[in-house]
Amino acid sequence: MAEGTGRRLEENGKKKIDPGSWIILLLVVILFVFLSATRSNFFTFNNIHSIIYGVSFNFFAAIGFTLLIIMGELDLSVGSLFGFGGAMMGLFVFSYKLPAGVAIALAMLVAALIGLSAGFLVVRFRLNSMMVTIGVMMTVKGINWMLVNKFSGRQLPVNARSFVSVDVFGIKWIILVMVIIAVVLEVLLARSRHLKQLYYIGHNVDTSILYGLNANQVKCICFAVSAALSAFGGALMTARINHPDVTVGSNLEISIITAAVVSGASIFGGRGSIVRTMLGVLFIFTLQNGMTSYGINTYVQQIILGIILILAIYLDIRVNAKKA
Amino acid sequence: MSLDQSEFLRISNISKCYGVVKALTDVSFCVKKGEIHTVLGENGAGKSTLMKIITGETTPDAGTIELDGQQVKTFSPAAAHDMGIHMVHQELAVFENLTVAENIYPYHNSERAKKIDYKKLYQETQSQLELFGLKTITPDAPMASVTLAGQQMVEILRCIVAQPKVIILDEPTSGLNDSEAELLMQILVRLKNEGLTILYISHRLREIMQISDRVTVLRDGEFVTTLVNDETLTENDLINNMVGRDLSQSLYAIKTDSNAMREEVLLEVKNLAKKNALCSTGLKLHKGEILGVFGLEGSGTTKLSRMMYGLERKDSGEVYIEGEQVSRVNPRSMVQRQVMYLNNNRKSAGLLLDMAVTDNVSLPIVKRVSSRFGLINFKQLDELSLRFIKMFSIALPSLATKPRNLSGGNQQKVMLSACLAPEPKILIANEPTRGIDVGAKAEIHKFLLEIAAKGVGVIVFSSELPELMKLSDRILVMRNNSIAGEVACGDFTEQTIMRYAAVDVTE
Repeated sequence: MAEGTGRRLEENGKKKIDPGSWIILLLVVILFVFLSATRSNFFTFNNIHSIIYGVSFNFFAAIGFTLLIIMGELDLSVGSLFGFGGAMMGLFVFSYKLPAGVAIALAMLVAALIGLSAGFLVVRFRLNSMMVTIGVMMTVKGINWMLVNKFSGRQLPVNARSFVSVDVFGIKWIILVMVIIAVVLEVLLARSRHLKQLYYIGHNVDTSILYGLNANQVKCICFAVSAALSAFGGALMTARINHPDVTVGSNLEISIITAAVVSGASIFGGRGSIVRTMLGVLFIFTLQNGMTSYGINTYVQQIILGIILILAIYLDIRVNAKKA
Repeated sequence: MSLDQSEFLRISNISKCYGVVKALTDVSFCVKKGEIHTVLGENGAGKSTLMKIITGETTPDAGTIELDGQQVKTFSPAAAHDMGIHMVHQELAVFENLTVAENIYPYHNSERAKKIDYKKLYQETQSQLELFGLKTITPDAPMASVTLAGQQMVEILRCIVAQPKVIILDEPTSGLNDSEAELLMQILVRLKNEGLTILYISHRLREIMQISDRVTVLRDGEFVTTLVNDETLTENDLINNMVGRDLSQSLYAIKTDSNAMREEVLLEVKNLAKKNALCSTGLKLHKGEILGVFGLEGSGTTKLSRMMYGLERKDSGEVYIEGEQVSRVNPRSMVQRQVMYLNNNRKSAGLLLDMAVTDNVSLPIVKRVSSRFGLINFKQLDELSLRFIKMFSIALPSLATKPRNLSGGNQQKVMLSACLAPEPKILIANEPTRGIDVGAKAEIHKFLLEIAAKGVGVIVFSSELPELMKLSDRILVMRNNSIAGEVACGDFTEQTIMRYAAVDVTE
């Protein structure tokens, strides 16, 4: 519904919903039904809960990504910034003996500055955001490896990790946070003037500037938010696995771009929704879970995910390429 | 053969429509071998379309082209090339990162194919350059280092070395200064004397008078006349033929008295300048006034409009709104001061082609229809959109309709709605009726007059003179990137204005 054009009134007052944009919901349902029917241990509370629990960490790297893709910008640094959050948390906890909360906040702050710099390069020098963030990805990945090596073999203290697995109403709190963020952002994207701007900018940045929007500023902020939230997700993930690790966030950007495009965001900008991205991430992770349960080896999984990404991009171009 | 000489290039009954717009209607004339034949007309008279047909870029709906007794069968650039028709476009098409020689001989082949013999290439280029008296250009210089005028010459040379039968030059002097233009004129006359047939397009009457053998005038897509450039032809003859409309039948009535509330200055632009784009330019706009700015293509009108709104960088100059200087001239601060800009190209900016009409109207005012917490009041927004849709009688299936699916006229009205939604004090309208049908045009004129009567200051930049004469309280005329003159309401005649725009009055 938050299609920018989605929440519109017909003259007779009926709401018009673009059915095409909710194909992702159908995909998730089909996948769940299929796996439930064919794998005996799939449709259990524990299994579903653990899949969604896994998704909830990664979802934080997808929020800013979605905001940016709506504006037609790609942020491929989310995966390594996810890892960076964990590595920085390790640095602040191990080397400076800071409490976990402060460590995470500082990690987010540093990440936000990195994101802001990337955004500045993109808007000020009109560099291609995909290329800039690939540069950021490589740089940050290098830093991650250095830090993680430094702390190899060390575990986070209990008070810096136990908070992650706390249950609320029988489910992990982070799942609840994910759902709340998704719903709130979804509503704001459709109804608040600040987030509605993203669609205007994504549809035509020159028109937005002509009518007084500060597109450059908005983009910079979103790059910073994207980086900070990725770092947040990565820090929580690191707390969950007890120690900083190079595998945290590795290749995550690929899963997220696939999730976003499969769920109807367009690399041309102007389209995208947070709830749908969340479903997209759920779809990708459930698919991986399902493939593993079928004994498909990870290399073949990689091939399948690659094909899905190409298919999704192809459909995006067929449907959304600007007819200019 | 004598028949062939006088009807070397024969254009017969050419018609072309773009949708409902008739670009050319039954145009016929002949070009003699070895003459410089100018095609003259106002913007939109159909010159470009005709040239596109001759060069095979587009196919006519009806009519034929014959060159040297041979009829053109397929309209494609390659076919035109093969027949010997070459064109130098107004927008230069050069390879900036290649050398001058490579630009002149882009398909150069030496005996041993696949390997370029640079020595020979440079020698040939050198001799060609010398032949044309271009001593300052060296064959191995990178094209990017050559001046605009030099690039123009190189592009003409590229055409010449292909030994064409006809070359078409579209506004070749628009980027040149006087001495460079003079050199080009000399070269063209020499080429003519060597037997080349030249079809020439320009707005500069002086140079047309200087080099043309004959001048064909087009007006509103129709052939008017072909004049022989003998002793008796004057610039006035050209102007009269170019603009001579039957005003009694026209859509346009000339405004004869001004209703501007002259005392209050809304907008003042002082000494706006940018190197190679705009010479120090100033203007004043009063409350309730419609100020027209006229100029032929390349005269700097669009640059002025964009620079004063901050869409393009300026080197110097100030903008004052209601007496207060705007410290940073950019679209954002202009919108905050209730100045809106109606863009001349609605396809590139000014609309969100794939969002709902309501979104288009709401973009500039989204802040105003939102609550304290930033939530948009959709009810208010839909009401506002409906108001504009009724006001402009925009034909819409629903508010969710996307502008992409609307006609040009309705798109323009949606764009105007977006500009008027913030209730601006000043509207800068750049070509407000470009490419729309007569009915929509009349409606947009009516609204511009209405908002001015309510006290809004409107600047209309237009290349359509009749439109400006109908709307404006004053008309500023631009030529060569500066303001050449001002014509007050009551003194409007096309001849006076065109004289400022096309003739060098200092002469």
